[in-house]
Amino acid sequence: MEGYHLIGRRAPKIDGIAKATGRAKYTEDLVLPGMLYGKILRTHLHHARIKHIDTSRAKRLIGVKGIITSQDIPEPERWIERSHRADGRFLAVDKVRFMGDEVAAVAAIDEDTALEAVNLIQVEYEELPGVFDPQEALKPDAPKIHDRRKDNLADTFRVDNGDIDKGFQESDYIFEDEYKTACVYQCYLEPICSLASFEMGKLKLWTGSMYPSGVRISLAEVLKIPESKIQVIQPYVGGAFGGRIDMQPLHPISALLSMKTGKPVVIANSREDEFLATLPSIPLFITIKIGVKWDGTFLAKQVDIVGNNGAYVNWGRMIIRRTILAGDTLYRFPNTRGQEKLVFTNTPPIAPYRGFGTRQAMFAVESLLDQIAEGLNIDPMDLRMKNAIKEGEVGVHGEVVKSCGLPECIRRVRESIQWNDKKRHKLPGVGVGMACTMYWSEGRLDDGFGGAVVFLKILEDGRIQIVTGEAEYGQGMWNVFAQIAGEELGVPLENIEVTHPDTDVTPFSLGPWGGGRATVTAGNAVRLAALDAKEQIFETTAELLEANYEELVIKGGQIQVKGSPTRRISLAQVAKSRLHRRGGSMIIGKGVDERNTDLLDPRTHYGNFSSAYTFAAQAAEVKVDRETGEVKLLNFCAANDQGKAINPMLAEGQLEGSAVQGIGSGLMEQLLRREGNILNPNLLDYKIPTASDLPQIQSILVESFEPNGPYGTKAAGLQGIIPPAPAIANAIYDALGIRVKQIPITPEKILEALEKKKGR
Amino acid sequence: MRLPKFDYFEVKDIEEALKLLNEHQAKAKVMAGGTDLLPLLKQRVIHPLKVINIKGIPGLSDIRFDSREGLILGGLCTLSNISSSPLIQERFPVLAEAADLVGSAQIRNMATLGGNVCQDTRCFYYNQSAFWRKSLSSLCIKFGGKQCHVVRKSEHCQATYSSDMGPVLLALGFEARVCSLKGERSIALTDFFTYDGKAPTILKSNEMITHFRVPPLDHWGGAYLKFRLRRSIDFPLASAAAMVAVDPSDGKCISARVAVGGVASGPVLVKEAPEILLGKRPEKKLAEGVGEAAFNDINPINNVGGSPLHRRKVSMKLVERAILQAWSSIQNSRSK
Repeated sequence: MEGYHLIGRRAPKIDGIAKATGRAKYTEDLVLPGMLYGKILRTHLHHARIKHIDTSRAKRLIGVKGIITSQDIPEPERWIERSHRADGRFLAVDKVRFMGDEVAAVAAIDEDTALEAVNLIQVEYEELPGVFDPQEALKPDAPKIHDRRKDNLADTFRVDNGDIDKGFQESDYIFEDEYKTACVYQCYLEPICSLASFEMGKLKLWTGSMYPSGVRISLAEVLKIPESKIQVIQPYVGGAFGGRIDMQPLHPISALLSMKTGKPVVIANSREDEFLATLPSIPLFITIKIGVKWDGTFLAKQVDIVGNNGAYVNWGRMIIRRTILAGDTLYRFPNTRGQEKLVFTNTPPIAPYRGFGTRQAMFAVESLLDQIAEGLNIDPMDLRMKNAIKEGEVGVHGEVVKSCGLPECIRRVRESIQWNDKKRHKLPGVGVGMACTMYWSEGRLDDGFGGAVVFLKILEDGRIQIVTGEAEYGQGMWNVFAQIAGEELGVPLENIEVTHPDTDVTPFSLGPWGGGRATVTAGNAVRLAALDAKEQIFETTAELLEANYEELVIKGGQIQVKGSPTRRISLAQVAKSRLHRRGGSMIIGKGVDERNTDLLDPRTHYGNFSSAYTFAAQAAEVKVDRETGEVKLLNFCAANDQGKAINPMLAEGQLEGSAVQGIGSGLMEQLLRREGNILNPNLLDYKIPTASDLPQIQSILVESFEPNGPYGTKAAGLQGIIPPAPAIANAIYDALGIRVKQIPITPEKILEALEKKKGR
Repeated sequence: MRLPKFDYFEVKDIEEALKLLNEHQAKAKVMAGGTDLLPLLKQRVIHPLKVINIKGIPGLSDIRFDSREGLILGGLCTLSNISSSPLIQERFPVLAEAADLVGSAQIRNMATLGGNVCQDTRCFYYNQSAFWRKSLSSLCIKFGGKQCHVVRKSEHCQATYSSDMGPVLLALGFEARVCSLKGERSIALTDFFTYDGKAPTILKSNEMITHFRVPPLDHWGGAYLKFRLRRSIDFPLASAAAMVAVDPSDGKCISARVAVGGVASGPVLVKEAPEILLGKRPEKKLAEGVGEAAFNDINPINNVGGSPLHRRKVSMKLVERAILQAWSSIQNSRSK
């Protein structure tokens, strides 16, 4: 493959054996001498004023070493939007605003004592009426969740591009509909855990996060201690999917308990804590209108989106402002308008979930496109192909599309699902459907540094250590880094290791979100670090072998002079020699990369937000039982344009994993709520698909060449979660002629739609 | 989640188990596979002071058949024992099929037939942690309170019985052999369930099941169909078990029993089924009739997921299909 020896290789995960054999240590596996166990008192109410907290009985319990309430929290200096609660407090001050809101916390000698103590804390509440539905919460007489605000509107924003009125006027047909998506939870395997140890003025904190540097920044801010006095260390992490984006209340709570008791304190979420009080995805109500010419050319798109933000502004604003742009650049929409309303309710605050809201928004776009295709009597694949953006074009919001495998993705799934055949020869109750998406590879969120820094050390035995603060949490980033470094330095994979993030040692890192930030930006930085190290290696080798720098090649852990195989030296010898004979100058390569992207215009949201854009197309074949409403997936084809696949096996893993999550939220996943209570806060009643629910997924890797990514790569992590729900909805329509406009598409919704159709 | 404290006994024979049960009565719980009991303990839903593990009692996991007594299944047979037994696959395939639909492979390896039949009923307002339950205004009936949080006016608990084996054993005409220190008794499954969500079986706190037995059946077919949101590790939202026996000389139905699972506090026997089917040859119309009768016999509530009306409709269709499938399995076995 283009002369690469590691790029494009299906190498197994370098941390695979440690994880599969149970030897990998996660935060909860760690034990420190004298460690205490922390428990958080959460409120069981949905909305209430705190009148009084009495901790005296809990304090008297033998084995209790420390208790904190909001009175122990430093007064926040400013309102911090992203990291935690809107008021900057990590324990409730005057009010509780959702069931699970943190009120107090206890550290004790063991878990049982801590739990007992938590139950002894007496909180006197004045219960207030709750509001759980965003439409209800917008009504003028709705209970107000934040006293200092005039209503429950957390954010509202409008983006216009082109001339929307003209676009609709020029349209031959206008299609319009409403869609709804449920609240789903990320379901990472390892519940969040935080181990904090405050000793001699320094806080050490072990936790699994997507952004350890960010956890440090936020901790410094809420605890009022300098960043240099905080060390965040990351052990192995069991999945994230957006939910571990940064600090959560249990992090500063464990830290403060440790500061108060002088002992290490660990707090581990139970799965119930996770379901009730971490940050699920944002549910949306979407009204969408698309104007087209008679031949299927898209002329205008307008969306109005209402999102349930939960009780506090966490990531809600940022996410919902992206959802109103979904689909605008995937297809050539000359005129667009998107507006959103983000609403406070007495439900848990929300966080990113794989797709950053695009999954929900694209369910509406891709469903409506099939309605348009039917209305105009155009094949759904042809309609998309006709309007698809192409390489070299600039999207309506300023996205510069340098590489685009979308047409190829559509062609490949069309072929793989045998679209034409299946459209011609229809079987009863069986249908095919498809959907597409675009996604970013990374993105610029603020005016700070938007790139990555990586160090690469050549150890004295010739092994390579990549020092990075980017977090591996299961996505396979370590392989990407190791394969890139190994490629450049001619070192076999087994001789390369990647460090866990440790903010005292590893460089500042923004974290691998956005589908491929680690691969694109940090991948470039790894490559640059490797090239920097190579220069140092060659410099020393040239001296040692008395050869010209230009004559040297590096391969298989050896450096040799081109054309004279006997004149060679091992990487280990070079590293040793440089260390011991040249005054301790260890070989350390440094790589810094920042892509040339734009910070979005705050008013118009215009700008080239990401350095690369990824694409996906998927097709589903379903069989629907008309009498029970059960949907069986017969075939599923998924194509990703992730650019050059650094490791095709892991790229397929990302594609299949994301498709399965998309299928889950399309067919069964939802937090069931009744009067605010989550009825299914466990993995038995909250259904995620099992292997028996899935067909073999045909994964197709389309490798466009992305000039911004190392070796032409971009991102593989997110785009695959977006098309499954609309592809399945479209397939169900093809099978039965019914359109379900709410996900998850449960059997009862199918029967209801069938009955409605019969009644018409 | 961690287990609460309790005294734990591993007993070696039935008598030892019965003595302990007699001594501690309602304070004790019997554990076999533990797949139902342990989650309830971890969630602090039940608080037994004594847990008696009976899995080490010999002789309670046999699978036997003789032409006089019929099929005898020990209460400690695991569900995977049942689904993989050649004897059951040959003579009672519906039992093997139903057992194979329970939980996951790991659960089936641990869970026992007795435990599956005696499993506790479930409800969104019952199977929750102590913290979660605190958010309710009052204790629910199953917890000793007066208020049902699902059906406000209900005076009794309507928690759902979710066993897969219960409806099948009921449809096939099984009886349970129940022991206490006072002796042994046999109870037909038709008399075994109370249909009260609070205490779904008639088993007393000093009793335990040793075996299940069904008399030999001839010229019969059975079917069990299960509807759930996902195809593994899931309880039924509705299920149907059917048994149909025919007179080989004319192919007319001589015995029929149909039960619906997952929609009430016990498996519901469709009362009109024999009336509709006896003396008749297989016909879709008849099966539909029994389905409609089932629809009228059940009244699920919104307590385990899925809308009640949808579960009723699905039950109707499953009953219809199960009868037809049972019927055609007789024809298939005859044509072999």
